Amino acid sequence: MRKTLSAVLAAIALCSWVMAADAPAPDFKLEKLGDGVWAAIGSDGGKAGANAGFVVGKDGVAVVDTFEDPGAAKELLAQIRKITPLPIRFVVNTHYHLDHVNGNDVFAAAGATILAQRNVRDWMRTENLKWWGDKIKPEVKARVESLKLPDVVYDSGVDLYLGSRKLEVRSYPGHTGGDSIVYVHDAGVVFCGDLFWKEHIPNMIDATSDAWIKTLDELVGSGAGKFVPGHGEPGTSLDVRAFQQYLGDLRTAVGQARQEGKSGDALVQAVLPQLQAKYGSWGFFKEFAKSNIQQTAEELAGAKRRPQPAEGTASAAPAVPYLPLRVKVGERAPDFALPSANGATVRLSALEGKPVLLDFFEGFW
Amino acid sequence: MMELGEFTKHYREFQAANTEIVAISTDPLNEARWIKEKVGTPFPVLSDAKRVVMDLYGTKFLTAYQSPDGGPYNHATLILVDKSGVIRWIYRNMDYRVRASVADDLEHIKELR
Repeated sequence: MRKTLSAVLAAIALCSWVMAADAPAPDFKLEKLGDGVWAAIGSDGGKAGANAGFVVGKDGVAVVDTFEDPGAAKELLAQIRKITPLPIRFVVNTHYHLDHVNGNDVFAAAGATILAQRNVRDWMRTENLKWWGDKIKPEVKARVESLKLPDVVYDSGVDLYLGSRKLEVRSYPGHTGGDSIVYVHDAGVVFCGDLFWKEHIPNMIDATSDAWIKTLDELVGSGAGKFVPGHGEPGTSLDVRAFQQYLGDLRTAVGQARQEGKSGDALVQAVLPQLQAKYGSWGFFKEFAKSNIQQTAEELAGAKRRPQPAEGTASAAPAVPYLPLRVKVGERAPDFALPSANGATVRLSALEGKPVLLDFFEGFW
Repeated sequence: MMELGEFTKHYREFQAANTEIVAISTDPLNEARWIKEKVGTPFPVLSDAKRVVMDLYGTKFLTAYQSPDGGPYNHATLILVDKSGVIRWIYRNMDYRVRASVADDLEHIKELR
C-alpha cells in the first residue's frame, strides 16, 4: 500500500522537475493580496507543484516557499525582479515537503537567508526520500540529499523585519509537526503553507489531525482577512473553517467506522462515500481521500508513523502566548466554590489545612 | 486528560504528601462527569462553565480555541496553594502540551514544609 501511495504522490506532484529540463514556462500565477504582498498560485499537477508568495518591504523581500521545481523558482525570482529591485533577504520554508523547498538553492544563490522551524532542517534531506519508496532514481536521491537546507532555524517562531514591515513567523502543529505560517499583519494576510488547503484534500502522511484542527482555530482567530493555502486559491476564514470541517468530518467518520469494528478496506469503503458526497468536488480527492482515511485510522489507533524531531530538540511548539494571571506567588488564593462532577460543591477555603494543587485544564490536555 | 491521568496514576504519592488535587475546566457539569468517569480520577473535577474562576485567576487562553459552548478555554496552569491558603508555586508553559512532571509537582509540595 505504501509503495502505491508513494507512486501516486510522486506522480501527481513531486517529480516533474526531474524530466522537465525543457518544459514550457512554469505554471503559476501571481496574485496581489495587498500592498507589496503577492501570492504565487501553482496549478494542480503543474511544475510549480504548490503555492509560494513574497512580501516586499522597504529594504528587501521575503519569500515564502520555493516550489517543487528549481525552474519554477527561477521564474518566480524573475517575476519578483520585475516588481522590485530590492534584495531577496529571507526565504521561509513553511515545512519540509519537497514541493515547497526544491527551489531553495535558487534563492540562496540570490543572497537570501533561508529560515524554517527546526524540524524542517532535520527532515528535508531524509523524509523527502519517502515519496519514491525504494524505486527512487539515483539522480532524484542525489537531488533530495543535496537540497539547500535552512540557514537559520527556530522552535516556536521568529519575527522578520523588512524595514518597518513586520512578518510574524509562527510554528503550529498538525500537518507535519514542523510547519510555520507567515503573518503579514499590516496587510491582514497569512501565508499558511500546507496547514491550509483551499478546496483541496490534504496530504496527511505526516499529520496529527486533532492538533491540526486546533491550529486552524488559531489561524481563524488571528483576525486576518486573507489566507494563502499551500494548494488552491487564496481564501478567507470561511474557507479555513470549511477545511477544518473536512478534518473534523474525516475524524468523526473514521472514528465511527472503527467503533463499528471496521478496519482495512472495509473501513475505507464505509467512509469514502461519506467524504465523496461532501468533498468529492475538491481537488486531489482521487489522490488523497483514501490515504486520508487509512492514515486517520492509523492515527486513531495510535499506530501512525510520523517524522520525529531529532533527539534533544523540542517538537514544533504551538506558540500560544498567554495572558498574565491575576494571581501571584505569595498571595492568598482567591476563594471560590464550584460544582464537582460527583455532585458536591467544592469550596477552596474548606480545604484549608492541607496543600491544594489546582489544575486548570482544557479539553484533552 | 493526559495530565489528569498522570495525577490519577500517582494519586497515592499526593495523598502521602497530604495534598488534595482539584481539577478545574470550563466544561459543563455533564462533560466534567464524563471526564471523571473516563479517567477515573479519585480527586474532584470541577465545572467552571460560567468562567467565574477563570476570570478570578486569569487563566484564560489567549487564543481562538473555543469550547463547544463558544466560550474560552483555560490555558493549562498548575497553582499550588499551601495549607494556609497562600499560592506558593505556579506552572505554565507557552506550549500548553509541555507539562510539569509529577516528580516536579511533588518536589514543590515537599518544599512547602
